[in-house]
Amino acid sequence: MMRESPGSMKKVMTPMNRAITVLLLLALSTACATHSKPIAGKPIRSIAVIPASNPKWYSFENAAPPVGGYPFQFWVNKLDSKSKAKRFNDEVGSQPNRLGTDFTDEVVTALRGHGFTVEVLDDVARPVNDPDNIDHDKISTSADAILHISLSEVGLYSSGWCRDYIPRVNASGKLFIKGQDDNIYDEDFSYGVDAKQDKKWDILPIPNLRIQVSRQ
Amino acid sequence: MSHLDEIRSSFSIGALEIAKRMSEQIADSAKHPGAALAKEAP
Repeated sequence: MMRESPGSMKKVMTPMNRAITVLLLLALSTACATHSKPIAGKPIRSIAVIPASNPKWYSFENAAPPVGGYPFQFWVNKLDSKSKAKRFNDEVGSQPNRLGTDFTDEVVTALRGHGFTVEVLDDVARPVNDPDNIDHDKISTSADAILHISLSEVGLYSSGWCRDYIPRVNASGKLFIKGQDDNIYDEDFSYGVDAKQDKKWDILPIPNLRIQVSRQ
Repeated sequence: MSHLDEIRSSFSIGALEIAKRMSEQIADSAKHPGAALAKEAP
């Protein structure tokens, strides 16, 4: 059986073979570069936070009790709620709104308290009409992961059976590594009206937080 | 305290309560991302 000496490899390394080898090495090096972000399972030490935008509209729902047999009651209630919602928003909107900012500050402070390095992405590009609909692919950060927090709904609700209104604050948080499909964390929270007793993350309204609002 | 202040205060309490609970969970998930991702896998 014939054996090739190690030196014989040099004879078969033609210029073409060398070029292919160089191309293969280049391809491998770029493939490795795309995985410079932390791989799944590695602890995250730095987080870039996309801040929650401040609410532009507060929901105001007044589900008046149905009057026996009146077929249009649903629409009457709906229109009534709509006009009250407009008045309510005019009133609430007359003062500076920092709810999203305060929410973000609280999350950032808590995460820093847990030892994470936190960068707040204040200048992230947001669509005017839908400020929380952000293109995550366009975010530039050196942080290990990105956290997108938002307030999905804020407002008041009344069941119609009593004069009290209950606050509604719904929020969500999503933690992910850019370029990876799966989220590390993705949860919705409800405070007040939409909180469910059986959903452990939800926060039920505190009885003394029921608010009386004029129904005129 | 006016009605409007009371309403704003209720929103703030809600948002801050959520922020506290959410950040606890996020911190936990970020420290053990493997567990969270394994939970998501089918």
